[in-house]
Amino acid sequence: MSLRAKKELNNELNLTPFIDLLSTLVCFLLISAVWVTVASMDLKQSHGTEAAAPRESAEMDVTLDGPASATLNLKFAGKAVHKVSFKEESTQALLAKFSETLPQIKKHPALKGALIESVLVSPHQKVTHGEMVSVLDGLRLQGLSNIGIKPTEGK
Amino acid sequence: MSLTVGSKLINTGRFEYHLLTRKQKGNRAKKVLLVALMLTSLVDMFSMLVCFLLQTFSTTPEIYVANDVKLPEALSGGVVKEAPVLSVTKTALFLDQKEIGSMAKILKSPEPLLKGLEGFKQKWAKENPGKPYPGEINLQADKEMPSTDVAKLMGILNTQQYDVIQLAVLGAQ
Repeated sequence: MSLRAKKELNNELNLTPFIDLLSTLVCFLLISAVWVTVASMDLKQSHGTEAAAPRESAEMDVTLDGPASATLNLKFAGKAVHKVSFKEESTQALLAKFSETLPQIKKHPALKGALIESVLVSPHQKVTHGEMVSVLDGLRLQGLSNIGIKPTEGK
Repeated sequence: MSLTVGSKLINTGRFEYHLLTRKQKGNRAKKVLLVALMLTSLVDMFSMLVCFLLQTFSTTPEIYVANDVKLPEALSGGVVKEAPVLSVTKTALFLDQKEIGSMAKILKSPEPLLKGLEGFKQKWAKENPGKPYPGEINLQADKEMPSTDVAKLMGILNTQQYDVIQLAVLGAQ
């Protein structure tokens, strides 16, 4: 009888404010969620009116002759030191060729240990923007930065 | 607390138990329809949803991408910076969501583009007196556009001291 008279301890968790909080949080996060990841690729477009004096630095010109063909022209102190052309079946194959060749080009003896400071890409009219970005991506993945696009008239 | 409904033994809260038993007392002959929301699974689902959304939450600035623009994909993309957005679709050019004309028209006579770009520079100069203009611009071009057209557009941007062009790509950040 004495036990019956005792009040039971209510140990139930009140879920209502917890659910309210979770619902609010879910709504906020769903509204602010980003479903498409947009990234950016920085291009350094140089400009100036005077021709720069040749410096003891390495540069590379990449001419895109088509979606799967390119010519790499390595220059040191303004002079061409190495030229190599590729003609592949697809852009992906061209990029694979880049990843094979570029590490060797970067160690070319004519560069005397200098790093390739800038890359200038000249696209062809046949090359779409998507294919050009793939090539730029391939160059960046090979550790080449300071990439610019040459505003060609379109052959 | 548990309650027997038909042949089933159901766990109930104190309040539910009170409601159900009260109803039973009143209409003993009638069958009781038990409508109990299972809160445990609901809370589980909410918790998982919150965890997933918190993980995918991004604090980096997002830029508007025009519906007609199919962005190219790249693996080496970086974080998007806040700057004016120039969108290039197959039919038209948009500078911060305002249409300025078709690609062919702008490449022939770029005055509307130059005017818009100059406007951004003037606005920057008013808001940040004495500071040099950073010359950054986000360029969103459709992946099917001819690269030479995009390159010519970059040349136009270059003449207006927009030296740092951020090409928008779809990437895995």
